[in-house]
Amino acid sequence: MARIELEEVVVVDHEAPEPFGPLDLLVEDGSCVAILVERPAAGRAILRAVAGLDRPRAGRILFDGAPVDGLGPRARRVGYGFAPPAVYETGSIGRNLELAAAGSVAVEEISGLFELQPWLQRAASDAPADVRTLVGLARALLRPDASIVLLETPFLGLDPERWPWAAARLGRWRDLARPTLLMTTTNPIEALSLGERVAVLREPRFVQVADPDELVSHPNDLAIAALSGSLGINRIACSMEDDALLITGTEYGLGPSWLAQAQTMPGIIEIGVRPEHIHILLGERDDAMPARLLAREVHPYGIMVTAMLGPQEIRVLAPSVLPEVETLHLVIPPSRLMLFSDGQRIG
Amino acid sequence: MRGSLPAHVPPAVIPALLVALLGSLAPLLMLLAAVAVPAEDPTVGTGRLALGVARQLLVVVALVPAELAVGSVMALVLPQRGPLLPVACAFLLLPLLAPPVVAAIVGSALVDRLGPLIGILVTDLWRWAGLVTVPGLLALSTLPGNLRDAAVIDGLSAWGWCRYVGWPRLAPVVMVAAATRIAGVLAATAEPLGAWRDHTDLALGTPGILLAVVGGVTGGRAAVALVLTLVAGGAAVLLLRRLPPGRTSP
Repeated sequence: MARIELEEVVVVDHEAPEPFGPLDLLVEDGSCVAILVERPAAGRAILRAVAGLDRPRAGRILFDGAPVDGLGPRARRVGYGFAPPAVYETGSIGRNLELAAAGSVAVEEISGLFELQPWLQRAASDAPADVRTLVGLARALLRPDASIVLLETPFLGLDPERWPWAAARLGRWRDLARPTLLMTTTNPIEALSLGERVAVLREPRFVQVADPDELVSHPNDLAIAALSGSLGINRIACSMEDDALLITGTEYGLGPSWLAQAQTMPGIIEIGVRPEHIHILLGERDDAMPARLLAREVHPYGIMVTAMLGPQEIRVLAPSVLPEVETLHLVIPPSRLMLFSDGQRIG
Repeated sequence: MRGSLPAHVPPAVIPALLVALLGSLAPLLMLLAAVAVPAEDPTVGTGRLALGVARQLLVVVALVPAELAVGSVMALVLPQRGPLLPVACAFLLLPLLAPPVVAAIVGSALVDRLGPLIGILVTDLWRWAGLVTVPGLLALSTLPGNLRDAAVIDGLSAWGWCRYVGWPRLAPVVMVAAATRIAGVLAATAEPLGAWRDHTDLALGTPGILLAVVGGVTGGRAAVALVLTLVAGGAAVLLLRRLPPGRTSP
């Protein structure tokens, strides 16, 4: 396995008129970095450059500190999981795995891990979409002595209900083989659940590279905030009054550093707060904002409430027991409150 | 049915093979019709017909496989993308498009230089291999990029590439080309029946070619191809019975 670095790399995107970059990224040896992209083709362009399938227009790619510019995919020793999965129709599933394994004895092990044994003798052309996805994943992981395993949307074609199972199996393989993994996906849940670090690409460059917890708690802008976090984020318009923030008549005091920043920002100021971070009170309180309850629906983590806070609709995750009331009183803990000016995080 | 097939058989081969077989039925029906209906020319006898059949069977067994093999290899070896592709296609189709007299002149020159056996073989390959190569190149140019890249990542050898990547895409083309050629050769089998000469190419060759095309377009659905074959064969038999006798060879 290897440590991979991208230094000011400009990559060729076959589905876009212009190359994009420069991109800087570090993938530590044995770690897993997920690139969250808006378009699959953009992620594919980055992976193809790392694999040596395309030459970057500019910049350097280093494997363990050594530039690999002149090396092809074989010399770089990469495993590659394509989306949609590349499966040879002329041959059995087992043969497909053997071709990727190039003599490695891990075929049996990995086919057991991904429950592919019943399919090994069967024609690849007979395999349904979910099996093909697992075969593509297994083929990428099987590459012997791989410097890095590159995965394009690894669970594409898999029933979302099976994602946790597949993620667990992938995790088990990572514990065994410690591969360096670089994956791309358009799905925030996939990125946040699989990546130890997540690089958010907003073409032409990465706008934030952070671990999933940091991405959820400290997103750089509202768009990232909306992507990260399984329940999304509420955007609430607010105004500045003296040294306080006013949300539908309720004052929130700002710390000196926030205040200084907020006062220098001429743009529209918005509050970002996640549904799970808003507290619901049934009685009035000084720091609580009244909200009219519109709808409620059962959610895996409780009850998802839709309410009107002044003129704005917001979503709040309530505990599993919520009495039938018309008005809720909402409290946003200041520590959970994110402040944005023109979409950019300022506090 | 597919589940019981060996895993190495490309799935597209099966419908293409069915089309090829069914596509050959119409000319066979016509051949039977030609034998059943007395020829206008009394010099045409059963002996000449048998000779013609034997000669054409030899062509089917020896020449057609060579054409298919050479055409397939050319399709696999030639560049399947890029600006040179249309040029290569035009060049390969030239022998098919050239007037028969030009082909005949070149053919006789080759026979003179190389001897009868090799001359005929080379002339035949020159004329018909393009029938596989050009559609084959077009079929291979539609290969998914993922599969090409996977072959590079896996480090497949040239043979591995042909077997796992190229052949599955090429196989239907080869099968349809085989149907077309076999239909054409069987049509020519009736040539000894001189009185039918002017009509046999039309009546015998065309249904086979049409069926091969229709079979390819419909994805080789066997039932469609079978019905069309029978209809075309029956129509051709009726046509031959009604047409006036053609000119005989000098």
